[in-house]
Parts: sequence; structure tokens; C-alpha cells
Amino acid sequence: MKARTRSTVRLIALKSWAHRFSFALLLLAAVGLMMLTKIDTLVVEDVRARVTDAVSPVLNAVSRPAATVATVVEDVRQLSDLRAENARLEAENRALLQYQEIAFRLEAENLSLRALTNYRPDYRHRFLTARVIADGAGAFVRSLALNVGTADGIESGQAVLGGNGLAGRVVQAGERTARVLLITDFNARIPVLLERSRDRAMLVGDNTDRPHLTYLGEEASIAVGDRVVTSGHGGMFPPGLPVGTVVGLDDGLIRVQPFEHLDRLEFVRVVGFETVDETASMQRGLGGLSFEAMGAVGVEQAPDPAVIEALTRFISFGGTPAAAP
Amino acid sequence: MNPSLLQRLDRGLRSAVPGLSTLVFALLGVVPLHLPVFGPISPLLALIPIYYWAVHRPDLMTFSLAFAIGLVHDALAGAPLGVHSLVYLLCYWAAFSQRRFLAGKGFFVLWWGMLLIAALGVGLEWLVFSVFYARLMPVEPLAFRALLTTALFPLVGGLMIQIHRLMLFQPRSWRA
Repeated sequence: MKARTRSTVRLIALKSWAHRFSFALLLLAAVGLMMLTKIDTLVVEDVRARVTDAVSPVLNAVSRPAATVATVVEDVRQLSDLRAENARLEAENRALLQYQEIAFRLEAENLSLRALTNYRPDYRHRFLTARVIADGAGAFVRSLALNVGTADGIESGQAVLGGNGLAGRVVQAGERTARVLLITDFNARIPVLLERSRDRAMLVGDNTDRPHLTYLGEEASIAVGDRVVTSGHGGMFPPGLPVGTVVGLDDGLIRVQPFEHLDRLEFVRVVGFETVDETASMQRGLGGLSFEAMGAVGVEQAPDPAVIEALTRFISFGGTPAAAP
Repeated sequence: MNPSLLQRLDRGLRSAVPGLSTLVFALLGVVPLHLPVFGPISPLLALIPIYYWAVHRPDLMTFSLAFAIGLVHDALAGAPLGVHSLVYLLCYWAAFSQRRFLAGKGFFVLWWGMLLIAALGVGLEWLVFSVFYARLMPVEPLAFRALLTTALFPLVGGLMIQIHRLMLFQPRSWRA
């Protein structure tokens, strides 16, 4: 009996020791993993892609009701100021129609000038629409997971746009999911251009809502309200994607307010870009764009045909600009 | 008497409940909610079940499970792998070491414990990120993140209590 008690005590002591040992071991493993992340990102990104791929069906399913609830909340909020919103939109629409006229005229002029100068063909953007299925969920990581991957033609490095402007860049593509680093993330560096003065700079994220500009030339001319667009330097992004506006100085840093509401992205467009022949006109490009976006695999729902028709009519209504020479 | 296959299956499923319920909340924690300014202060959702099970069923919610849940969180949220493993492990250990005080004490004591664990978790997260990137991370969202996690305890913790009850429930016919 006594021997048995002693062996039980020994067993308990052993168990408690093993328990503590496993704790220490796991702590070391966690620290080790972090160091591995710091040193060899390839292996880690592969693991990450596999895990995200594995749970993507679950996330895909759960993200839908969450998005629906968010939409309902937003709808209720908007109901209160529908009239004012409508008036504002009508005014904006009138202004935009004028801009459209100008754009068509400028495009025609641009095409004829390009023909004169034998300009190198422009880039055409190819879009793939994707759903956001997970986000960074915290103050220290600004990233998203998308429901498209290498199987859909997604590659690391492609630009990601929201409805209003640049959202980020694909940093890792799994088979069915992709990870996007937002432009506000601590690790994000985007070569940009000030649209007005054509000064180059680097847009640097710092985990705040407003990234800042660095490497701006000494003689750069910059003003609050300047639009910032991608410069296309480094070949990573197509040039001219809208990024944000300069909002002012803060602690000696020039802050940029992104056009995109990065905290409520539901769908994004991943941009692949390729060269096309120079006769691609804006009008035809616009029509082609909507059909291409429709054929994208990321979203099952195609846009309403009535919308497409209305859009086509809208485009043709815009007047026939001077044909390309 | 050897337990039948069904009984063994039943027992296995019951012992998987803490891990599975925690995993569910880890997944829910990274689902995008599309709410303005919510992102930085979103609660550390998985911490609530980890805390609850560390106090009540440490035999089923083990160190390695807390580690694995942290790993899944990191992989999905895009954080450096290991960060939340470390955070959850240490929080688990803190809750585990106080379980004799906390277990069976009543809801409000448990809730108070959650506040401390949430503060610990969020603080640790900040510390680990700061060390990892070798620069100080913003501190503004921390308090809100901890408070929001604590505020969700009645909901998530209440659900855990119900799940715990269901887990222990045995039909009358099986008791003999």
C-alpha cells in the first residue's frame, strides 16, 4: 500500500514536471517561429498560405453574413439622409458629365498626339474581383485575405484596388487564397508621384490610418490637397492608380489620406497589367472593362444586365468624340 | 466493462469541445466586419474561451492547444507566426495558475479575472510586436481592445458556460 502511494506521488511529480517542461518548450517554439519569420519568410509564407487555404471555405461562408449585417447597419444609417444624399449625387453627376466631356476630348487629343510622337503602347489593366474573407483584426497588422489565389491567376506583387483607390499589394498567393498587405501597414512601401507637380516620393505605411511620404526631393512642390498616384517605378504597379490626397504635416511627416476606406473593404479588384495596342480608346476600354470584370472568377454574381445596358447607353450618350486619326 | 464504440466516440467528442469552441472564436476574430475604426480595437476574441477553459478544464484545453490556436490566428490575420502563440500561451499560463482561486467563484469574479487577462494579453501583444519590429507600436488602441474583449465576456463566456453544461450532460439511460 505504502509503495503504491509513493509511486502515485512520484507519478504526480513527474506529470507536473512534464507539464512545466511542455510549457517552456512551447514558449521556446513560439519565439523560434518568430525568429524564423524574421529570417526565412518563404517557408513561413508557405505555411501561412496552406493554413489560409485550408480554412478558406469556412471563412468564405462566415464572411458573407458578417458583410450582410454590416450592409444593413450602413443602410439604416443612410436612410436618414437619403434626400440630401440624392441632391448631392445629382449635383455631382452633373459635374461628372462635364468632366466626361472633357475626358473624351482630352483622350482624342492624347491619341492624336501619341500617333504624332510614335508613343509606346500604353498598359491595359486586367481586373479580377475578389471577396475579402479575413482581415488583420488588430492594431499591429494591416492585411487582408482574399478568396482568390494562384488558381485564378493571382500572383504576388499585383496591385489591389478598392472602389475608390489603391488598397494594397498581394504579398503572397496560395492556391485558393491570397494575402494583401494594405498601404497603411508598417511594411508597405509604394513608389508614388504627386499628380500636380510630378514629384516622386515613397509612400510609407506606419500602422496608422494615414501613411506618410518620404524621399521627397528638396525642391519638391507640395500642397495640401495634392493627389497622390502610383508612379509605376520599380515595375510593381501600373502607373497612375489613385492612392490618396496630401492632408498636411504631422510630426514633420507629410501625411496622405488614402482614397479607399481601408477598414470596410468587402470586395476588391486585383490588377494585373499588360500592354495593348494604342488604339484602345477610353470608351471602348470602359465597355470592355465591365465585361471583363463580369467574367472574373472571384465572384459568382454577374452584374445586373440592366446595369450593363444602362452603362453602355450612358457611354454612347456621352457623345461621339473625334475619331482617332 | 469496456465502453462501446458509441460511448468512446461520445467521450472523444466531448473532450474536443473546448478546443473546437476556441477555434471557432479564433476564426470569428478574423472575419472582416467592415465597420469604421473597428479594426484596431477589435477584441482578442479567442482569449475569452482560452481563459474560460484554462480555468475550468485545463485537462482538455492544454498548453499545446493554446499554442496551436495562436498559430492559426497568426496565419489568418497575417501577423508574424508565433506572436499570438506566445501571447495565448502566457495568458493561458496566467489563468491556469489562478484557476484554484477563480474556478467556481461566481460570474463576476470570473469577469474580473477576464479583465486582468485581457489587459495582460493586449499588453503582451503590444510588447511582442514592438520587440519584433524593433520599434514602439501605437498604444492608443490597447485600452479599447482590452475593454472590448472584457465587455464581450458575458456573451462569449456565457456561451462557454452553456457549452460546458451541455458537455457534462448525460442522458439518464447512460448513468447506470
